[in-house]
Amino acid sequence: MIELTDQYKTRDKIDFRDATFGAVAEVMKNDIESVLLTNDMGALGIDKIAEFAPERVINVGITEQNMMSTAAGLAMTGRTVFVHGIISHIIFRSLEQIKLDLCVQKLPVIIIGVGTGLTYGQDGPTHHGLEDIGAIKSLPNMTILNPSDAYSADYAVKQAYKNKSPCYIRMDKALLPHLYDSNSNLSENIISHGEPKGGSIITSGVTVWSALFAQSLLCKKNINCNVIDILQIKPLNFSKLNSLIDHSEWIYIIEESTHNGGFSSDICYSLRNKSFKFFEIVNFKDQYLLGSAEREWAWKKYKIDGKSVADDVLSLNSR
Amino acid sequence: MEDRQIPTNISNESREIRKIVLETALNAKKGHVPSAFSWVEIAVVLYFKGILKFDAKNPQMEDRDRFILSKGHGCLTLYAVLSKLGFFSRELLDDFGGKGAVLPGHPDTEIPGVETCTGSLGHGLGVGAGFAMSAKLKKMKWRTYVVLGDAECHEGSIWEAAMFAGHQKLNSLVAIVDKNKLGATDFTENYASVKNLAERFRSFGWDVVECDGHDESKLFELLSAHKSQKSDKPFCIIADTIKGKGVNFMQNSKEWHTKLPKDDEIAKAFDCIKNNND
Repeated sequence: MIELTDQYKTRDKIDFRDATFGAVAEVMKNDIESVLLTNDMGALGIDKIAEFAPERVINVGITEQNMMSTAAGLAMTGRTVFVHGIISHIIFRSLEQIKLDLCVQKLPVIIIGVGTGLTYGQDGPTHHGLEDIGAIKSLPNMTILNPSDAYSADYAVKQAYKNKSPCYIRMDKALLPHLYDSNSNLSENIISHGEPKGGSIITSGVTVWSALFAQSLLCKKNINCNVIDILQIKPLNFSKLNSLIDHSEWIYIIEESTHNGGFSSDICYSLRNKSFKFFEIVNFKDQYLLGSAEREWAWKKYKIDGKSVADDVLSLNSR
Repeated sequence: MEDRQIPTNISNESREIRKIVLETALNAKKGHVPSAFSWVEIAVVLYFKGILKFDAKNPQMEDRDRFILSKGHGCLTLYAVLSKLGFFSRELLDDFGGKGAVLPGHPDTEIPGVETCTGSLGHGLGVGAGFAMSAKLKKMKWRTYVVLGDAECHEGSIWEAAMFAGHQKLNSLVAIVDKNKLGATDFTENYASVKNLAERFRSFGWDVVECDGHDESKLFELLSAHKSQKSDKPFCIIADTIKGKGVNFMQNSKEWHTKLPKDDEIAKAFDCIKNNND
């Protein structure tokens, strides 16, 4: 269970998948050429799309390599193609197809991967999504979107559709309240929460909720910071990021990934000419998590939960 | 070395393509010549005998047939054919593999007439299945032709695509396996047999025929007949070919995958091509 601050505890919780496939359904209703491929991975939202477009929802079976190549062929004939499956399978089994068939040719294929980070933590390392950002961000022409709530998931699908080039949307399965709404400005692909003073906690995806929890605890200790949610990991809006940390005396990065499997190196690059009181990164280090890495347990163990982050910031700040 | 001969009459077009392939490779000092030679007749029938629908001046014509050379390392034949047909000028061949040249050692999509990047094996049939699936959804008449290597059929992705195409009844998809029986370093029979490819494709829901891959008349007959066929299955031709076909000392040998003739071998090679001395 992801910890929520009091402000969000009582709000309705929404399934990322419903929001994501709701947006896909909107696109596919309007664009009758668009197609959705899945590697035998179901979702309620996919069933709903199949009701109005049965011939455009194609279960290719557990054939991830072929799914990407077939998506490329479909896209080369002028279609936008959505591809869906579990992150750890569709990214790594078919990485070469993503590179050569999709990215080199800059095709409008939108990969919707379910299972960010430790969504499937209890299912073992075969199902963890801890290295995929590192792999995918190395591919030119690829956009990576990592929404932190249902509203930004909806936005991500529509943004990816507009891009008309390869996009990877990382989709969680957590039930979480809306963090954003129609009044939120997501257009710069980075969103700041809180006043820009003190320090900055930078994160992406569902660990935004850890950061917000840490922020609320720190606030009670009179430590100010803003939380920066990186909605689009690649290309990263470096100028916006720099403007949001312009005030910052310290930086704390939270990523639900291995050390080289996430986005922190891009933040380091972006901020390479600045100096801070402290600059800390927490993640799962350079290792595989064997056994049943239940998310709440693992976040606490590796100190990427809100309480641990707040404690660490307090400690670093007092030195 | 396998002791076999396939009797064929080499056409003028095939002779000309082999000559251009060898000239291009020698000029660049690079290229997979035997792999290019083994599918020359297949290319000639597809492009010069009216099987493929295309417009060299409008390579992106919507209702064109799609062609994918999945065994991308055999691209010198494709380049020679596309150049002869006017997709691009002969001068580009002279710069094959050069610094910043348009034509690299494996095809990419900046080359007029090339549909997709190939060279890493096992991609072409899946992409072709995507083309064919799109044609089926759109009820378009165009067809997709994919040339595979037999050693390429070691790739699992080929069989993922074969299963998908068979299940989806993609009957506008044609796979032609250039069965030259050699991988990069050895005969496939010595390390991973692909002897029963026809049975394998058939079991995945394809119509399959086997023929001499250097017999232009037979290839033409099969491919023409397929255009008017009523089967709902994808179609596969297992084309029995000889790697290095056309130059006797390069034929059916595991020595020549990337090796080029030198010194007096060069004249002998051109002589073989000119006089059908294979």
